[in-house]
Amino acid sequence: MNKLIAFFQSLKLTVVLLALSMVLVFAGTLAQVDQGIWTVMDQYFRCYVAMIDLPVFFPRDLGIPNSAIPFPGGFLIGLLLTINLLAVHSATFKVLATGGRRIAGLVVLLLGVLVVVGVMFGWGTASVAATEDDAFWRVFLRLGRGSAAAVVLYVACVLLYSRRAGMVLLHGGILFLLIGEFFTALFAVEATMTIKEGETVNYLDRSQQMELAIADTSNPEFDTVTSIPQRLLKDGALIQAEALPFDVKVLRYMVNSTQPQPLQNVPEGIRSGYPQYQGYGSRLYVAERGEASGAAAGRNAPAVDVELIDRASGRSLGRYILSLWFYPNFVNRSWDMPTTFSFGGKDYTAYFRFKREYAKAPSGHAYSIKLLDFVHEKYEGTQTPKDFSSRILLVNEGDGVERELRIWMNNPLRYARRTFYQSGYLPDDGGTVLQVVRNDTWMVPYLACMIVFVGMTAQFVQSFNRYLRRDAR
Amino acid sequence: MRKSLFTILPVLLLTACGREQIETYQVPKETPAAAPVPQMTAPEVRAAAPAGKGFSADVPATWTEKPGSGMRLVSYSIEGTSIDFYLISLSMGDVASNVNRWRGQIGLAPASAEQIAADIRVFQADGRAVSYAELYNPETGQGIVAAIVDLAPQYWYFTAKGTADELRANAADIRTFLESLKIP
Repeated sequence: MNKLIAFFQSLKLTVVLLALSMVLVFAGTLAQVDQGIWTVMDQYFRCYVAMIDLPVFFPRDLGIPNSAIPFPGGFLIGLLLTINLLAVHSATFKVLATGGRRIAGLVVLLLGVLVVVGVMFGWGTASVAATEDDAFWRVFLRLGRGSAAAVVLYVACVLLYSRRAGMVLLHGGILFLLIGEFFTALFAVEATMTIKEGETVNYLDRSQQMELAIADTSNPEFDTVTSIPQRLLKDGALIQAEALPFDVKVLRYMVNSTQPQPLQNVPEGIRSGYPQYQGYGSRLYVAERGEASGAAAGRNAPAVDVELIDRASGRSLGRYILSLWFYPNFVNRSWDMPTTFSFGGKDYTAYFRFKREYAKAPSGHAYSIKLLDFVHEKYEGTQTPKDFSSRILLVNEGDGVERELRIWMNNPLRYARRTFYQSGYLPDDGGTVLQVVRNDTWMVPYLACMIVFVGMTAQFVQSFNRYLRRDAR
Repeated sequence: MRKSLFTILPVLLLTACGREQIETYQVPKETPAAAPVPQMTAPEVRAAAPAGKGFSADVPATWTEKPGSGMRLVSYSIEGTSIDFYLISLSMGDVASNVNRWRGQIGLAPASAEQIAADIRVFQADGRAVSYAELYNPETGQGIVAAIVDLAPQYWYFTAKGTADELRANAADIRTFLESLKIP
C-alpha cells in the first residue's frame, strides 16, 4: 500500500501523465483529418482507454494498414492526475490547526462548499433569466459570485492551514476545474430548437444522438411514437418493439449519407445496383459516404437502410432508406419528407431524426416556446449580418410561467437548467434556430478561476509581506 | 485521510450512464413542419425564355435565374447550396489550357494531356459540341463543374463553383441543363 501511495505521490507520475496527454491531444488532433469531432472526442478523450489509429500519424497516401494502438484515454489521464494531485497535496499540506480553530475551520469550509454549490446551481437567482444588458457586466457579476465563494474558502484554509492557505486554495481550484470538466464530459447535452415564426415548439433535437421514430398515426386524437435509439441500430440487428406489429431489420447504418437527388439523374451504371426501396428511396438516390472530417467542419447526415418484416408471417413489408436529410429540422425546414406506410389497417410515419427530447422544467412540468418575431438586421447594402434576435413567448402552465423574452447574440436565455443561444435562422428569415445547452457545471470555470486567483493573490501578498519585513530588518 | 483518497477511484469508474431503451409514448398530432413535397423530388423543369442571353434550356425548379453582370451573361443560384453557376462568352476555346486553369482555381496541379482527355466528356447539345468536366479537390473540398460550348468563333463557358459535396449532388442537374441547351 505504501508503495502505491509513493507511486501516486511522485512528481515523475505528473510529468509522465502530462507527456501522455500531449501525445493524446496530438493524435486526437490529427485524427480529425478523417473523422468528425464527436467521434474523436469519444474515441480519444472521453474514455478510459483510447484506441489510437496508427495511420493518423502518417500521410494518408502511404496506405499504412489500419491498426489501433491502446493508449491511456482522456478520462484515465485526468483521473490519475487528480489522484496524483490529491496524493501530493495530502502529504505536503497537513492540517495544522487543532481544537477550536480546527472545528471553526471545518465549519467555514462547509459554509464555503455550500456557497460554491449555491453559485453553481444559481440559488437565489431568477429561474427565467434573459438579459437586455451588456454581456460584460453579466460576466463580471459571475466572477464576483465566484470571488465570494473563493474568499469564504480562503478563510477556511487560513483557519486550517495557516500560512499555506494560499497554496492549498490554489491547488483546490485546479482540482475543481479538472473534476468539473469530467462532469461536463459526462452530463453536458447539446441540442437545438427550430421554430418558425408563429409556431410553438415543445421539444429539443439532441444534436449528438439519433433515433428511428415510428409513429402510429391512425388515431385521430394523438400519435403513438415508438423511438428506437441509435445504439440499437447496428448492421444486421433485428429490432422487436412491443408496440409495433412488425420487426425492423437494420441492413446498414450509415454514418453519413449523400444529399438525396432524383434517381433519374443518376448514371445508369449506378442506378442498376441501387436497392429496390419503397418510399422516397424508390425515386431518390441516397448513398453512404465517408464521415465528415472535424477539420472541414462538415455535418454528418446519418441514414439507415431497413427492412420491415411482418412478425407473424416473417414476410418482408419492404425495404426503406431513411436519411437525416428527410428530417425537416436538419434542412432548416426546407422540406419535410416523412416515410409513410400502412400495415394491419394502421398508418405509420417514420423519421430517422435527432433524438427528440420533450421540454420539461425541473419541476416536471412541460414548457414550450413560441416564436413571436425573428429579426435579422444586415449592414446596409450588404448581406453581412448585424444582429439576429428572437422574440419568444415562454410558457410553462404547470409552473405559472408566461414570459415574453428576447434571445439575441451573446444574450442567451437561461431556463430549466438549460441555456438557449441564438444560433441560426431559417431561409428567408422565416424562423429561428436556438442552440440549447444543458451543462450543470457551466459555472465551474468561473468559480475555479476565482478560487485560483484568490489563492495566488493570497500567496503573493504573503510572500511580498515577508520580503518587506525582511527588508525592514 | 490518505487511504480514503483511493476510494475515489472506484466511485468515479462506476459512474455510468443509463442505457437508452426503446420507448413508446403518445403525442398530440403535429402539423407538417414544412412543405410536404421536397423541391428535389420534383423532376419538373421550366423552360427559360431565350431572354436576350441567346439560348433557352430546361432549368430545374430549384434554380433561380439572376441577370448577368460584368462579363456574365447570366447566373443561376441553386436552392439550398452556395454554388455559383454562370455563363461567360470568350473568343478562345482551347480545352486543355482551360482545364488546367480550372484545376489551378481549386488548388489542383496541372494535368497531362492524356489526363485531361480522360477528364473531359464531349456531348452534343442542339448540334454543338460541349466539352464537359467535373473537377474536385478532395483536400480542399472545392470543385468546379464546367463546360465549354463550341460556337466558334465564340465559346461559351458555363462554370459552377462551390464545395465538392454540393457540386456532386447537383452535377446531374447541371449536365441535364447543358444537354437541353437550345441555341438559335
